[in-house]
Amino acid sequence: MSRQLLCLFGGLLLAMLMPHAKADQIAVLVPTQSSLTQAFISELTKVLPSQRVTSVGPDQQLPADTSLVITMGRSTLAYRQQQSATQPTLATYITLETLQADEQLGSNAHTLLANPAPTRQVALAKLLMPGASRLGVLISQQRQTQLSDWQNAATQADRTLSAVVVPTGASLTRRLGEVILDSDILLGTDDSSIYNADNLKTILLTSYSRNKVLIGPSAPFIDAGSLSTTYSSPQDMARSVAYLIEQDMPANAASYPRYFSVLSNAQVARSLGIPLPDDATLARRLAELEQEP
Amino acid sequence: MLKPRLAATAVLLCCSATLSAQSLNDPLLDDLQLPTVLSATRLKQSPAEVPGSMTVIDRQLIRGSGARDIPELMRLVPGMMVGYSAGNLPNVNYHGTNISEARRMQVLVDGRSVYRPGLATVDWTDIPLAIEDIERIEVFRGPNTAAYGANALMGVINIISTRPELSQGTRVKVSRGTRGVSDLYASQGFTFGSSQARISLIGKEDDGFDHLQDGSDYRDGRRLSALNLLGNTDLSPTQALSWQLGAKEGTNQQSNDYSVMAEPTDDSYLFDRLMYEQGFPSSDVTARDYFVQLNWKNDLSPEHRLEIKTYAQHMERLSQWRACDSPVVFSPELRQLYLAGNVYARRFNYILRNRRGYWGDSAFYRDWLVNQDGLPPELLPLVDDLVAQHSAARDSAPTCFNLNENLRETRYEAEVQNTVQVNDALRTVFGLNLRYDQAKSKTFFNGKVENSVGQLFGNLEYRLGERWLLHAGAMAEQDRLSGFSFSPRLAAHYFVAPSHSLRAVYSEAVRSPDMYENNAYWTYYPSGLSGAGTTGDTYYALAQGPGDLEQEQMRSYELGYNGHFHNLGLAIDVKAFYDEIDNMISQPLQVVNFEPDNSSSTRFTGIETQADWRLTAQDRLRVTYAYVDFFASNELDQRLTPRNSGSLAWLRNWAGNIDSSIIYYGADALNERRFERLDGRLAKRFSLGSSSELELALNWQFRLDDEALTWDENLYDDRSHVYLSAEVDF
Repeated sequence: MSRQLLCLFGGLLLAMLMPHAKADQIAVLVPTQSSLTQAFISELTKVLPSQRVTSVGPDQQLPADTSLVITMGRSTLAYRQQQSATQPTLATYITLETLQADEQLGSNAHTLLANPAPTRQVALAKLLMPGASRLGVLISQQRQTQLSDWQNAATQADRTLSAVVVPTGASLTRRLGEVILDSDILLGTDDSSIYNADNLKTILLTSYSRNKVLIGPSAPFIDAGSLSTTYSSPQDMARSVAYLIEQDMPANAASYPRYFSVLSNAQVARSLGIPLPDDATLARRLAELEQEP
Repeated sequence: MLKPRLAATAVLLCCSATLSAQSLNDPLLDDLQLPTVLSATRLKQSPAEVPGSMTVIDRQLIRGSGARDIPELMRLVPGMMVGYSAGNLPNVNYHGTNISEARRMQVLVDGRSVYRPGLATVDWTDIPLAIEDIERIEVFRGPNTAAYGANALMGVINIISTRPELSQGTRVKVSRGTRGVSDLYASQGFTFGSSQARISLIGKEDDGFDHLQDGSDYRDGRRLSALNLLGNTDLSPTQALSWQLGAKEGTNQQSNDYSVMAEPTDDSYLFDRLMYEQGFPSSDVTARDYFVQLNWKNDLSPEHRLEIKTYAQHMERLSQWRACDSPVVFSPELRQLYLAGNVYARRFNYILRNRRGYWGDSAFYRDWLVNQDGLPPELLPLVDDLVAQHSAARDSAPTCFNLNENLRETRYEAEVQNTVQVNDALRTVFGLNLRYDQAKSKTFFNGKVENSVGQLFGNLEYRLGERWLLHAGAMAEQDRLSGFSFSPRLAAHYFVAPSHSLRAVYSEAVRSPDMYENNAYWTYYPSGLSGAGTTGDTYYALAQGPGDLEQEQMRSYELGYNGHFHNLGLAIDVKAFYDEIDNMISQPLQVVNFEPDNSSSTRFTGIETQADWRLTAQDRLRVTYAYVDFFASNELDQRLTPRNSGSLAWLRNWAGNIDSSIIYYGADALNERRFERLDGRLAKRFSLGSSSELELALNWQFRLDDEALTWDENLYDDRSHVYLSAEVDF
């Protein structure tokens, strides 16, 4: 195991073991109980042993001594922001697109973004297809502010970004054709007006017909036929929350989770003759790369 | 101290990854309800998993080659022998056999067979498809009857159109060049409702090879216009329709191929004088092709896909012209003599033109016919009678008449195919196919010949751990005209590493005799008669199919390696083969001397390789080579195969939107003639605004040797051929 990895896990252990002055009360606002919320809370309890983590349903009051509120999803964050609360808020399970669509939503809170970080997606693309020098990105006009992140990520990875903006009301098909022509691999963006159930078939079949694969845009797309993506599991998310708590978590800001996993579609890789390491190995290598200066 | 804990954390990391996959579709992450688009049943086999040898000619190669026609692209396929019967009649054979009768390969365009049922040929020029609309061509090198049925004997060429999604907008391309090249292509992509479609218009013209050996113009040019409309319609997230229709109309030049029985020899006769004077009107072929096809795909589940494919296709080859001859060619007596033996009709021609100055002598020919050719002496009066008939007509005008070689072929086909991923290890494809063929021609068939074919097919693909992949497939086919056949295939792959496999393949295949070989009744029924009167109303020569021909049988053994070095961008395939074809029908399709039988056999052994190397993001190198050794019992099958053949290509994208390609093609004895050519293409793209582009391209072909191309008369005046094209996309 490399030194970077040692640092990473060392940091994690340190975060877990660092005793706090007193046991704080953390309230996690959940919209409904699900396996995801349970996994998140159970992991959070595990990684923050010195703190009290309480799950709070939609109709329940916050515990009196709450020092930090963690919201899960859009509805709980919106609810939280309607309240006149003084405690700091950490918003989870919010995508960049959700934030962009409602600028008020993230104010006075730190948002831990649920969509994959562009730098990670680019690094993953580079790892899987070292020969792919042109990264194709398709984005709607409303979301084109995301492009600067993609551009930076591409530049940092020494790749060319081939971005095509789909004007509002324009046909996606034609722009898709353009981006496929001008790139070696497609990277999915956090843009539900493009990456949705209706368009997905066209996007995947058309790119596959030119032997171009899709990275991302998020984990649910892998089963559908996207090659691979980074994402944060509830456990990754809980650990990232713990890490943020240990840091000085700036309010009114957004960041990507520190911890993440990789999910890939082995069948798609095999069909296109792309050698695919297992997901844990990929995640480990990406984490190592992030630790490199 | 830290190490044990570290290991524990790593375990946690990997466990959480598996656990989380279950909660991916949580409402918190938006309930996406995504369909499984690239399901196991939809994904294609990787090259290392194909039960045989495959060459894919992709879009970059198609463009880079500058080819105007599909057969020219086939030179990029190892072992493929491309020749020309005439400039507008390319022939493509795999490994060999008879060049003129390229009838042992199946050719499909988007799943529709363009192999003509009547004459068992492929009219490459007449397929209503623009080369600009081809996404890729997958060539299965070797028998594939197990998957595609009879006629997929020596290989399958699978032509796949570009999806309309990838050709939205407008494209116009104009080409002009030497050898009369004048091409036009225009396409428009559009979207309506849940459909994506493209309409293409095609115009193509050239004048073929230049001159015949006597210096006269070689009439082998062509002119065609065609239309193609194709689209995809999404019916639901799991169901889609692909539809396509096309029409083509064109003229293929053809010199008059009527052979005169009574050639003029003596000006003192009116017959001879008028025969000298009459020209040779052309017998150009008007070719019309129409088709419509519909393909319904239904993903019943990610593990089960059902496809129904149907199409109707009609082809017309119309050729009629006027000829003049002695009235004896329509006499029942000459037919009687011809039926006694083809050779006697040829001797009668010698007699009429007094060949070598002594064939006109009755003492000589009577003796020769009986003692050398075995004519029963009782038929000698018949010969004398015919000679007298011609002499009597020699002082009057020749008999002139219209004749035609019109042929109309129609095909309907429907197929149901299931693809089922039974479990991670086992995938199967099985289904049912029904086909109806009809060929109508008074001249060739004295009416109509019909055939119907039913097929049941199944293929299994079984993965045995990481290392082994086993295939078993078979086709059972019932052909009304040629009976039942069963063609199995077995293949095994051993993976030395992922995407590197060694394979062993055994397959059996059949070719059904075509309608002409088996059911021909070729003679001419003259119309518009003028000049000397005739005593009968059909031409003397008659080619009659025996009706009891059997299927050709092939057994093929193959060992191969396929590997993809992902990091190098290098893909390699090597194949060693031994093929045997028995029961072969080698006789050419012709009106005289037509006596087909199943007496021939051929053996091929050799090795083939292809390597495709994407050296850098800008450079691509590709090499193919085939070494073929053969034995053929029929001399007509002994000419085509070169021992060594191959190609070498370098494609590069330069800065400033410039693309270049240089391709060398070589064969040491293609139909007994050397063939070496160097092709180059240089193209530059200019941006015209945000999504408009102009591309100018210069294509240059240069023959490195001065031999004719497969036949003596196939020569160009100039070794160089240049054409320019301009394409606008907007």
